[in-house]
Amino acid sequence: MTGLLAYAWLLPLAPLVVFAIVLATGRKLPKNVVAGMGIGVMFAIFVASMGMLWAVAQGARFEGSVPWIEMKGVVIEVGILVDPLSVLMLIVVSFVSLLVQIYSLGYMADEERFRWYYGAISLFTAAMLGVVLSDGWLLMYMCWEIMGLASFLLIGFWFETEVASKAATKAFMVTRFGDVGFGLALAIMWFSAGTFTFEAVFKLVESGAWAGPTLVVATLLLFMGAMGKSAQFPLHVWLPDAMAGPTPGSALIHAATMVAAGVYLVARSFPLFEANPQTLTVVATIGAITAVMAALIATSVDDIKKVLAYSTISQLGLMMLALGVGSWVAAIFHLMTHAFFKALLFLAAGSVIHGTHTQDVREMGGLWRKMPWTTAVWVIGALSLAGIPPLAGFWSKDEILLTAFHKEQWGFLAVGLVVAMLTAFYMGRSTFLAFFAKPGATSKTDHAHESSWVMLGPLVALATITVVIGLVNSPMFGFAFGAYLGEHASGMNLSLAAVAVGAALAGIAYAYAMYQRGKANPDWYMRNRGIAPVLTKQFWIDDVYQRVIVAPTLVIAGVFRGMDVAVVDGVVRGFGKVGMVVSALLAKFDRGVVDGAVDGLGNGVIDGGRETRKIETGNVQTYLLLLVASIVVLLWVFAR
Amino acid sequence: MTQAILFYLYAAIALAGAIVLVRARNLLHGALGLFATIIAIGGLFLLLGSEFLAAMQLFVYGGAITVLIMFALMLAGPRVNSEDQPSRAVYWLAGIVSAAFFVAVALVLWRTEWHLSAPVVHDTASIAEILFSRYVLPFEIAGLSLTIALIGSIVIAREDDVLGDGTDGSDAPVGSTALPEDEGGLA
Amino acid sequence: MIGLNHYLLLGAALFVVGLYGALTSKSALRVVICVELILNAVNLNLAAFSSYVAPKQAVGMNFVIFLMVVAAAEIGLALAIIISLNRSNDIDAIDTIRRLRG
Repeated sequence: MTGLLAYAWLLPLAPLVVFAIVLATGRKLPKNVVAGMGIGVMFAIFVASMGMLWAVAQGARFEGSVPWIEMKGVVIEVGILVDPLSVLMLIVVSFVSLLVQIYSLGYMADEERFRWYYGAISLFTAAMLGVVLSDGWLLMYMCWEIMGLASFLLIGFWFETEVASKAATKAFMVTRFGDVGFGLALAIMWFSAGTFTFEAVFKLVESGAWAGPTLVVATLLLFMGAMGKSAQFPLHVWLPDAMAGPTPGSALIHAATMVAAGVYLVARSFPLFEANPQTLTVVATIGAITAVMAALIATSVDDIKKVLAYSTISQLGLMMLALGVGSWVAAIFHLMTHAFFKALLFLAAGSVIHGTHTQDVREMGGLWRKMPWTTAVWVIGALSLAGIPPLAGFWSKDEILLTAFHKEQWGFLAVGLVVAMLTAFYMGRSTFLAFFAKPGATSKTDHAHESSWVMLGPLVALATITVVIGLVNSPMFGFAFGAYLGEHASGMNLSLAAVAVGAALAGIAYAYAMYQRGKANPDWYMRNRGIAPVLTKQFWIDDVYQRVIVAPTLVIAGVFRGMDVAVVDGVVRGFGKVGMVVSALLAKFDRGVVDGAVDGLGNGVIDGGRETRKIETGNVQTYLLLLVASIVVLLWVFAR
Repeated sequence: MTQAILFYLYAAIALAGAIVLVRARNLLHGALGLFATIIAIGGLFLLLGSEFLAAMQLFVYGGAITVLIMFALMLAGPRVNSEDQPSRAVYWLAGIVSAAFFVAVALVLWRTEWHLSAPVVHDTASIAEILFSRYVLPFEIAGLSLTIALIGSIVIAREDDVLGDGTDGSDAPVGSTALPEDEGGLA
Repeated sequence: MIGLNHYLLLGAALFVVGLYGALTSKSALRVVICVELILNAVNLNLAAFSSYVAPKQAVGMNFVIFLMVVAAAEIGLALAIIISLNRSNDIDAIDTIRRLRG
């Protein structure tokens, strides 16, 4: 079984081949064949990952690299690293990707670009597998960027609509901003450590050979990359807009896996961060701000996908908080459980959208009668997210709170509890509004119908996982998860768990009172002048960007445009005139078309840009003349 | 000494032929001028010590290409021979640019220090040796491209309905659309 | 004594005459013939370089052979185009062919 690990490099290549086939064949292959390839490959990867889990759990490990760039005295290697963490991520990614692809058979069935969708999903999965398997930051960065590209493609899947194309651009730009940090971190790493592989750099940091300000800056820049990808404040603005893509794609990329890559990056680089307590404080603080802010916004959003998007941001903030207070195992545990139950919630939301053709919770209501299965799995996911035992979310959230408790980070512990309550509240709100409350006047649920089994199957599978997966790090199984990742069990604090569950129940109860019993109608926030504007405007962060970044950029662009008009166009006009003079000379014998030249000359003064084309007389001899004249000028300048 | 005399003789013939080509009113005379130039350059190749190139020059240029040009001249009919003359401005402009180019090249030659070696006679074998070893792939590609060009010329010049769409397979719209456009444009 | 520069100057002169012809001629056919002249001038330069600068390897000579191939292909195609234009549009004047116009 150990020998299997050496072939792990095949895993990212397989979906890449699928993508290449889709790209090459276009519409020639039947839809079922394309989907079958994607699903089959993913299933094989999942099975292989399970085999690797078995091997790795027994202590096997593999690291192999090949030289990639060889220059004078410099060798840059790329390779793969198979250890417990990467195998765990392999399983999460391949499993969610598998279920999402099966689900998409139903959800995307009528889609024109069905094949392209599977191609993009395969490309994404390949890149994500590359990220988790790479043995150094360089290869990781490359796959990271491909992942961003795949995300861009899927957000902009319906690029005909302005919303989707704008959202795709925004996501690309904002995450790129973070990636610039990642790239700079790589540069610093190269000059300070001289290598990109995890092992080598960790050794340097451990021995103190690399320390000081460059290390601090490098970790902060790495975290910047993580912030962009994991939608941390203030770079979170792209994720809600990213919901313009197809829902299953959102489930895979913008809920379960890609956005968690930032958390994975920090967890993987943890020895670097551990050496810098100040960076860890930054990580925890950013995580805390993100978690609270996104949870608050989520309480006021009516779009069911955007609720989940803000919830994702909030939970990612919680993971960052866990990393910041010093437990990467807790963060990865929450990453894993979150991947499952958030994918579940997204796919359930997709099922709702598929059945009702609306995304607005105010236009739903009473869906539990019409979509019993969807309701059941949604409730499981929502309870898990709210942190109700024994569902997955409870265990992982408890782990994070417990870490903060042990490290006596009381502020962050309080933040965690507040977020837990807010989470329970907004999930309660959307659950009651969409599934249990009486349909309102604007309801569109009359024709709602349960989805087909090809969509419900993955939902049920994910729901089952959500129920049981949390137990792997529970006292019942001896905290197997922590042991697997090589960290001592932190035990369990019953009173802390009770407080957390109490907070969650309070949140649910409040949501029940407000939305199910009608103590407040859904427009409550709109009418409440105190906080409504803050929340519905998402803390004005988008507006601030608009004012501070977009508007000045436009002003600067305007200035450059002015320069363009004044200087460049002037030059262009000059060229135009030269062309005109030459042309005019030739024009004399050209059936007396002189007045055309005069006309053109007049126009040239008015509109320089249009005049340059007049150099292109179409007369080969003019071209030749100008060519030779230019050569003479160049000879004069350079060979003088 | 003989070499110098032969060089100047050939150079004079070549230049004279070239000028005839450029200035002759009748293009047929021009083509004959080119023929003279080609022969003279063949002679220069001999002086440079490559009898193979000289032979090739005579076969390919002096034989095939000149005959091809003559052939085209006959086919194209009398119109080609009686072209109207361009304006004086064009002559001046072209003359100035050409002269400037010559001066520029001459200056560059003047200033360049060549690393000369003693001339060697290139027999056919030494050319063949390198052509069929180091340059065998370009050689094959050259043959291929020549074939393609041959097929292309046949397709372009065919008179019958090649495309089967009522046109004659040649690029009919070229002149017909270009001519009216001249009126409004700048030329 | 005849040196490299003599050949190069002669090549440049032939080139410039060909250039002048290509620039001034109104007949497409004459332009094509002038281009042949230019190619010949280049051939002369290559052969001269080959025998004066690097006489051990006959590289320049080989280039001349390749250029001859190119020239043959070029003139074949060019004449075909001219004949075709001539037949369908009754034109030969090169300045009336201006599809490339911007």
